[in-house]
Amino acid sequence: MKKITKILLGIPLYIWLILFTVVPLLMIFFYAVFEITPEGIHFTTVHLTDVLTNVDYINATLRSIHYAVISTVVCLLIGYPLAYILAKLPERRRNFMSVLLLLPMWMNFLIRTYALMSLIDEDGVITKIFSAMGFGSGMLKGTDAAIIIGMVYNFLPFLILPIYTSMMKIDHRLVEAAQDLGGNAFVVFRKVIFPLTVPGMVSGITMVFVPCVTSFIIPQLLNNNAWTIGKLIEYKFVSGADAEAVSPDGSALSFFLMILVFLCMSVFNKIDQGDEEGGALL
Amino acid sequence: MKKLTAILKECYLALILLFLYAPIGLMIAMSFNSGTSRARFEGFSFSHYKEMLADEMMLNALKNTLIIALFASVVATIIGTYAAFAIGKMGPWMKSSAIKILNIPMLNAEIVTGISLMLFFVFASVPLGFFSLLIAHTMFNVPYVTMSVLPKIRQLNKSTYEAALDLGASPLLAFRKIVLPEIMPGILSGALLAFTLSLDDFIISYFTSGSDFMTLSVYINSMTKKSIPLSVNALSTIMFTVVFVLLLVVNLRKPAKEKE
Repeated sequence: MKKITKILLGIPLYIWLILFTVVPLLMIFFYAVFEITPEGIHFTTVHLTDVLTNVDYINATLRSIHYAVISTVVCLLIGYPLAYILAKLPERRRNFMSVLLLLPMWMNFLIRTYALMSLIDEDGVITKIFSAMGFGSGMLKGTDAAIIIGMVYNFLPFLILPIYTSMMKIDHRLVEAAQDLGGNAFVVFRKVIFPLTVPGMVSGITMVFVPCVTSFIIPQLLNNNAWTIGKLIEYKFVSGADAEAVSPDGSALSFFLMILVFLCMSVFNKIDQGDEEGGALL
Repeated sequence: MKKLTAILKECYLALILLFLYAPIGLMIAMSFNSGTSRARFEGFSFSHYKEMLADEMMLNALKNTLIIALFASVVATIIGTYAAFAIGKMGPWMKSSAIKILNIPMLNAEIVTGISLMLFFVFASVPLGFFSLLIAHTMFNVPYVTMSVLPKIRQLNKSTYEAALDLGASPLLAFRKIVLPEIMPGILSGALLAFTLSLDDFIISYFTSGSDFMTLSVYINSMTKKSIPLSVNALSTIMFTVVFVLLLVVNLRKPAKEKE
């Protein structure tokens, strides 16, 4: 009797999950391999193979990965020291600073990016400073740097917060023990603090890398000539000249992007677990 | 030496904050511009705030955003809380597969989630509009609610619930008086998270809304092709101020509560 109620309790949840999560994802695959014409439905792998062979698509994929890797590295280089400094502040200031870091996230993402755009536009402040310093026209808009700045600007807090959280969780006795055993500040950092923040770093990297590699609105606003995979998908479904609601090319690209994202995530998770095993061996 | 590193640290913090706040500061300053340029300040005026109040399409988009966020977060809170209970009672195999599927929208690229829902609506011939947006927002909000309620359910003390039953309470009364107050913080933080995610969402809304029911983000995006009028800055400034004040109140109230 009890078992039956347990199963009955679970069924509506499974129906919800299958209907609104699994089935929609299967739809991507369905529209990538089945073409629906007035004569009927026929199976084709043209669109899927096209994703892997079309030079434009490959370039867009490589470009997306390129932007995402650079942005994630820049976020890490800026964010890690910041999280470290933040974790060492006195409590009241620490809480205040973390609210300050989160506050921009409460502003609509489009408006934030648009505000950034007006800073690097033709008559924007940063452009003026750059040209006053003698960097040619100093126009950042329309360059790769503009996209990287846009991505770092939007996603930096995503990286800082998990690292900061894992730093706050560090048992201070471990640090003291390392110091007592004669470790200098650098050794303590490398052997104790850094390994303990790896899980936070991995979740931070995932939270920055995934939106970067799939982004379409940042490239569209800051450098419209750069075709990323996200922009291609949007183009195929919505804004392109021959866009259609069930674009097979767009579906194939989306399917490919989904595989790419989950592949990256499993790689990041492997790094995390691998490191934990190494840590246990020490 | 120590003083120098302290100064360097402060400079670093200030620099990052400047990077994060300069665009927002500029956006707020320009909302008071009497001219229409986004880069040159011509004089102080409230003219863009007046324009904003007269812009019916924008106010309508704001209303739509609030309606969707409210409905989607309420529905997602109910479904998400139920899901947390169902998962709490499941056997290990069903539990792990349910959590895995539940995690997909949180981990997957937003554009893929948006496209998948759009294709689903096209396939099921659901017209893109209020209803499709509501389903889409509820769908991506549910896992966040479940994940914030689930830990509270795990912490739940079974014996107080059983004690209530032994003392003659009906299961419903015991649930209402014992279980609900215990998990309420999880439900509330999940609901708040769902509401803000819904409010801020652009990508999923972009693919699942039609041309006759736009949210604010979708409406703003439709204007980026030309140039966004400064009345958008005015509206964003107001929204930012509201959030700022709310966060301030929440943070000022917290220490007072702890003292009690």
